[in-house]
Amino acid sequence: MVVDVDDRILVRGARAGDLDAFETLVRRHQASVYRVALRMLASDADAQDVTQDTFVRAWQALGRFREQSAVGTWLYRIVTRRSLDVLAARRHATVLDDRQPAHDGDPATVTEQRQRLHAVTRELAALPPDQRAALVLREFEGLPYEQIAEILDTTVPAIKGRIHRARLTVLKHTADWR
Amino acid sequence: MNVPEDRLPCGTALDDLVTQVTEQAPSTDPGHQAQCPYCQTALHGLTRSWADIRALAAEPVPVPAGLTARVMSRVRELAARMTTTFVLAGALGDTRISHTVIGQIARRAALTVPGVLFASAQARPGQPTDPARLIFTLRLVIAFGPAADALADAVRAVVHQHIPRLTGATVSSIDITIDDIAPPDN
Repeated sequence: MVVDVDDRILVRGARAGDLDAFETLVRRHQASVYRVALRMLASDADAQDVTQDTFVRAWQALGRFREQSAVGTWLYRIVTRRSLDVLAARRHATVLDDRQPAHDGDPATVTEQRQRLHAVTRELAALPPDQRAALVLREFEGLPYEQIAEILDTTVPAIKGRIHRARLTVLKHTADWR
Repeated sequence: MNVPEDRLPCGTALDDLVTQVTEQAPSTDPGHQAQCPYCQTALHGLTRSWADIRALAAEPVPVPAGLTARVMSRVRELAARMTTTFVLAGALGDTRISHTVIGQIARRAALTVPGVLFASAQARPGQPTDPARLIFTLRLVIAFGPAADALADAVRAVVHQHIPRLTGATVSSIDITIDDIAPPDN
């Protein structure tokens, strides 16, 4: 019988040294952690490294985890900060998502669609890191403004401003609006 | 025509149109917009690009193969450095078993009890003078139905049975916390 154990119970187990409990947390949250890292860094290799680092840091910080927070929010906070660190260290180097997702359909249409999505990825990668983080958490993870503000340690109006500026920049450079 | 940046030739701010498209907000000037070819063109382009962003967001991002194993391998390395061990002295040499492993054995033993849905366990030496005697702390999630105290006793019995047989350690005490009871339909 498989039971959907609450994250906080798994954290209590992991804190006591139960690696199986921690592995359950990893399996449960790794997709969202990797996704955020990939959208932030636009590099599969860097995203995998940051995902690993996020969970290692989480393991080391289990004792400091406050149970009134959600584990997901806590992990989003770690992965976002780690991704921002990597971006700061990377400076001007441009890396783009090198994965090749499978698509069905007419090859010409698929190619055009890939080019358009690649253009969006390129514009995301060119955003200032704080705007990129807010946009990724909002548009790619679907998080509410309040949770994004908690993750990025700022206010809801500041987050709304960042997201609006990010949307404006990306659309201005990708849309045929003139 | 000299048009300021981020404004359409008709004077409409691109900013307003982006809000309209991304927030599905009403137009700030619906009468003008319905007649204006510049606004119509811009809205068409912005809507299409916004759909691209939504498409990218909806694109599945599979977890790379082996990522969980990589993460857990690193965590296990760190855990191994932090863990203490229990030593069984033998004529041909010592055998060390980490307290984490002993905890895992207790956890797996607890899971064999019907009605235990989840268990985590920690083992630690009870007294410095007798490191072979261990204290266990278990946290359980149990099914709705069985009496919690009877279930806890059954868990104590299997832990008492498995730990000495599989590790050579003896069980000093077993503290159990029922963390949750699963709903009847789980």
